[in-house]
Amino acid sequence: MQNHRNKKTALWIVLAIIIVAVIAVSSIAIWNFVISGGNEENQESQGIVLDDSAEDWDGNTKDLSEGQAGIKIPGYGDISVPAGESVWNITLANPEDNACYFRYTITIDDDEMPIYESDLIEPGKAVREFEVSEPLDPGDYEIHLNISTYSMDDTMTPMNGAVVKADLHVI
Amino acid sequence: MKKRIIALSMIAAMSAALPGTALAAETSQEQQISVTLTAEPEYTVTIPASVSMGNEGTYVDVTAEEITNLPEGKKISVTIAGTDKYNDQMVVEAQTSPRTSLRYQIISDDGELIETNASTGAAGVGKEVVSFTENGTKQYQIKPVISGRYEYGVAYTGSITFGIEVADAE
Repeated sequence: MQNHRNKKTALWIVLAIIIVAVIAVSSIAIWNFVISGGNEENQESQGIVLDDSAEDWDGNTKDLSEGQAGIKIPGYGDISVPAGESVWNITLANPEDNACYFRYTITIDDDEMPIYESDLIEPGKAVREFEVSEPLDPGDYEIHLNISTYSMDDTMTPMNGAVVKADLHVI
Repeated sequence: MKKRIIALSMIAAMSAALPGTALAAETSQEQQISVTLTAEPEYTVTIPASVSMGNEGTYVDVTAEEITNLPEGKKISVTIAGTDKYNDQMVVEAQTSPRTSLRYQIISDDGELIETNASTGAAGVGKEVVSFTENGTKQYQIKPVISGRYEYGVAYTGSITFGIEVADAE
């Protein structure tokens, strides 16, 4: 008998909790609906018109480079050329994926006078043999492959470029 | 019978060996070997095509791929070698009247602030932006220094020359 009464009390408590929760949720929903409608009316009455085209902005630095085309620059390790020879066999390439022209200008050590300058090289093409203005004596040097890049439209605007350094062994 | 088989085997072996020896001698005398070696690229680094950023700056990808023969203890180092502006200043300019410019800063993959500043003597040339010991993509941050005279709604442009080399890894 006592057991039956306890069960009945517990059932009433659960039912009461459910009823209170439903009333609370409904009240919040009704309050939000009233508030939002009121704000809109207030803004319009004060002459504030929100721009429909405004986008969400999180204020953080965004990665704008996503999908932006880069420029592939070929790099070199050690390069060897024969002493006293003016014809050098070095592949001066413009990788196929690039959307720009390459122009190679080669200088040695701190000398600013180029020993070779290519014409414009299209993407997917390479100069594999060229003649330098001055053969070198045997020894170790630093070769600078200066790569100037240009857009492929009529303006031929200079783009970011590179100086590829490598050890040059003249043997 | 046994002796006859052994004799036949020896004759067969000798007849098989002699023409081969003669052919080898003939080949080594006549064949000339000519090889022209061409130095080929040993890695590729993808740099951004232009200096491009919004008001808040941007992150820029630099990718190294197709790396071959990179010795132990070495890295591929990507540095600032120069810019297209006077004295290699890190600025972008717009075709306004009078001409206006904006300084920009680069924050390297290691968190180093790289900029040019006449008052502090800071220079960007030679500073490392990213480095690689294997194939992969790394990012640096570039952002404008919005101060002084500038105009909204115009394009500020400039370019960077990156230095790329195999250097000692620290």
